[in-house]
Amino acid sequence: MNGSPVAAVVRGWVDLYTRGLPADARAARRDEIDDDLWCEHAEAAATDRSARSLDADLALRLILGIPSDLSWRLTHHRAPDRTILEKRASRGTRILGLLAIVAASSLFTLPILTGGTSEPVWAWVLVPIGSAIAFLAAAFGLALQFGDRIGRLGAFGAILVALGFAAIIGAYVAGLALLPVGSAMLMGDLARIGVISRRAAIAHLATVGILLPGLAVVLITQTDFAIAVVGAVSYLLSWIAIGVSLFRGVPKAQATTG
Amino acid sequence: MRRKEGALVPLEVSILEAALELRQRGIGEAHGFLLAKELRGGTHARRLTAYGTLYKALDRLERAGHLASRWEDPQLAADQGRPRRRFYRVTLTGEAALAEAIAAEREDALPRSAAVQPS
Repeated sequence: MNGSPVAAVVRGWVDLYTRGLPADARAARRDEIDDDLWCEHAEAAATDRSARSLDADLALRLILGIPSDLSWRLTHHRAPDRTILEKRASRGTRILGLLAIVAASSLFTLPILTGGTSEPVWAWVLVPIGSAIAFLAAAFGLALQFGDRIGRLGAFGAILVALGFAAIIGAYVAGLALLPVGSAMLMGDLARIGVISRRAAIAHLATVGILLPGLAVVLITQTDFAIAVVGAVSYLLSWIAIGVSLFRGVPKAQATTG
Repeated sequence: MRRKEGALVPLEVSILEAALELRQRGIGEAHGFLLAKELRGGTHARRLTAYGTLYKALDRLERAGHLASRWEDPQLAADQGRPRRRFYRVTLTGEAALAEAIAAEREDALPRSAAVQPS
């Protein structure tokens, strides 16, 4: 409903000038502007106002408010110092971070163990299954750890990861796609509540955007692995980055005991 | 020109007036967009107050204790398929500050000659 390009620019601007603020202050400003945009779009829809007129109004409201946005940012919410930025790594988030790192990095050992051949078989069986278990544990652990704040998107994402895991165990290759789709949903929701950075979630989503077409190409052609490999490598790297970020801790306001 | 410490600027006066006007109509708490609409109606402006201008003013009013705010239950917003909403209400301090600002405005509006009593 409020997905116009101008609304996206407004959101992008809010995202930019609130960068570096404490998570709660940032979320408050973002949500408030989001609601304002939603209301204005709803009113425009109810009054048959043209999209062009609405966009012009949104753009003007954005541009005319920029000096105040900057002044608000500089005057009232100076960039947090290191004390505020301090993160808290509970035992739970450290374990989840490690699981994510292990899940992703173990798959990089496959080419080393197998030398690009189909041998040894144990490596082709144990490493993917072990990795899948670690992915499942990390995803479900995150959903449980932050279960009090996570939304339907994140919960559904965790379920899709579980289905993807089941697909791997059942050697149902097409079902494997559920794992990245689910993880992208979960990461998006975790970014929404400030557990991981929005940038990390976007990067993760981008890698899923490469991986899924790559898997489709492999399924269709059975020969062209290039896109899938690029997608898989970037997807795994993004998991490692998220794992490292979790291991280092989540912002204090978002941390839970564990 | 720097404003006097703690004094309300015209937009802040308008916001408090708009919130009180809404309260008189039975809307005790108002969110940003509703206040912006009320402000537009009050000034007969063509456009709503700019985002930055409006929300900076609301932030300042709240920090000064003239407004109090609360976030609605996120579930309510989710049920209605929209973002969560922040509601503002005028505090007693806000009402007093508004009355003071209006009184000061009236004083300023008096011709200087009228303020000086002939001897």
